[in-house]
Amino acid sequence: MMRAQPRPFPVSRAAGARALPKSAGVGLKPQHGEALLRERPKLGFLEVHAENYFGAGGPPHALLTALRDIYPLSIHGVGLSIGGEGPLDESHLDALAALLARYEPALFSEHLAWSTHDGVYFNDLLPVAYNKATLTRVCAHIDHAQNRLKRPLLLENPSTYVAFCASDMDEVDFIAAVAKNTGCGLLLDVNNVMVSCVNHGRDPYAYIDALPIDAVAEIHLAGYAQDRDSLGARLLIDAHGAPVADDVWRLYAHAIARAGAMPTLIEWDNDVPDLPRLLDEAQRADATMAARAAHETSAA
Amino acid sequence: MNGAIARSLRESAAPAPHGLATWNGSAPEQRFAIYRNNVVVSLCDALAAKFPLLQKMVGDDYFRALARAFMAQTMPTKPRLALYGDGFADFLANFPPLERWPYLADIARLEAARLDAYHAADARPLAAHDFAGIDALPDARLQMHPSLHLLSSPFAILTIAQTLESGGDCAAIDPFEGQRVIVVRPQGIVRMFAVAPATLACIAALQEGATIAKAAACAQNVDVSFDVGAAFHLIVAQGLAAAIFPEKTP
Repeated sequence: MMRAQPRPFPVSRAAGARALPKSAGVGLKPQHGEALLRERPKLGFLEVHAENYFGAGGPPHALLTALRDIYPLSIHGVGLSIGGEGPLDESHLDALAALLARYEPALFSEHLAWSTHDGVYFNDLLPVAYNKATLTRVCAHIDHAQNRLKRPLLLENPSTYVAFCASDMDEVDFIAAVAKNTGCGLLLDVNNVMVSCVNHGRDPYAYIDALPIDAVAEIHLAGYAQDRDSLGARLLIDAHGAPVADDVWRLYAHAIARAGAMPTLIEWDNDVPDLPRLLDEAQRADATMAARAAHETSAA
Repeated sequence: MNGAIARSLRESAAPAPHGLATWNGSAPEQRFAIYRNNVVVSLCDALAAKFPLLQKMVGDDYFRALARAFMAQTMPTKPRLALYGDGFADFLANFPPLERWPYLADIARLEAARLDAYHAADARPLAAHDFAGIDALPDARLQMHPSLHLLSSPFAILTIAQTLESGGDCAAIDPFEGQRVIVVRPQGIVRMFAVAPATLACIAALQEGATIAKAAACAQNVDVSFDVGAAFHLIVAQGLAAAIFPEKTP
């Protein structure tokens, strides 16, 4: 049975945590560390993948500790396997709890996906069917994670390439139900919306219009790669190896018009460009938010 | 459903799982292949990041083939890719086509040790003055640095590794000149250097919790001319120890 009300969980607002400003940030790449420390470019925040910092010490922690003093931080998990059929890995939750205690990030987010099954980790974000059974399971896992981590998490909408015969809900309705039932926030990945909507013949603007926008607390932007399916239809791949596409920028402007300015992350994980190129992308996100604010002021 | 997907992902020849749908009736197999490719490519990349020298030695294509063969036997069990591939050296040692290149497995061990040292816990290395106040030094024990790894190989693994890294020519190296190698990261940078067999025996004994007197005796069993003073100079100079306990271990 789904609960009508979200269960309250103990929230520890870490004393040192700084909220993310409503401006653009970038994913931290080790090769940019020295330039960030030296030049301290204006940036809303930095985001890291939690699992890259599960080691006990060494240069990764030294760099993150130093940058944590300069920039607000968001931690993004990629391995919790919230959509998994088995129970969540307690040792993984322990490691996450330790990492969150060490860095006190402003936000912690994870994916609506699974990556581990029967003790095997696939290192990919794999899709779930959207139905009552998965909804119950996903909500139970998020409840458990939020209780263990003593904070709400943000759930990211997935990019998917296949759908399931067993699905009987729209993705956006599924995500809305998860947010309602667990009290989790949402990480709106605008590139994922574009990828999934193109791949499944849906309208990405209608997707964003249907999302419970008040639950959105962060936005992700990334570049996709393009292929064709067996019938020649466009098939987008969430590759994180290119600049944000123009149609994703337009969709982002639409999302900002609905949600207002949001902490917005530029994800560029493969074929990583130099820092100035990455900062250009971040500035474009800031400019999109500024243009929207100006439009609203002139309309008022 | 996840089980069926997992099975199809593990077996590259397996068909896509039943129950997949596409909006336009296009082939689900082709779309499912994107996931298959993500898994294989990302795990190959993870192994390549952990074993860059091995990849240099065998070439990119052969390394990818080795990685896929390893993957078919051993998938990651945890979402921590730095840990994936700890069994790669044993896999290479038992891979018949590589029989004529027996040192490749020890190169893999050296690279795994180096990555482990990189991520190991931080600790301030002992300095000379930390030993000054200890009355009965022979009865003391050391806690070695958390990043310390000791390797003893019948092959010239350090010379091969350093030659590869400097872009030199490995053809001039006799791979069968064994080396004892210490890997440690006292501060930010991982160090690797070769030591004499007796020195390695001394440090291995200390790492296992022996007193300094016992460790020196172990080393002298290997080489009667072992110089305990020189070994201590090395421990301090290279930052191999993190704590000293007079007499009994705590």
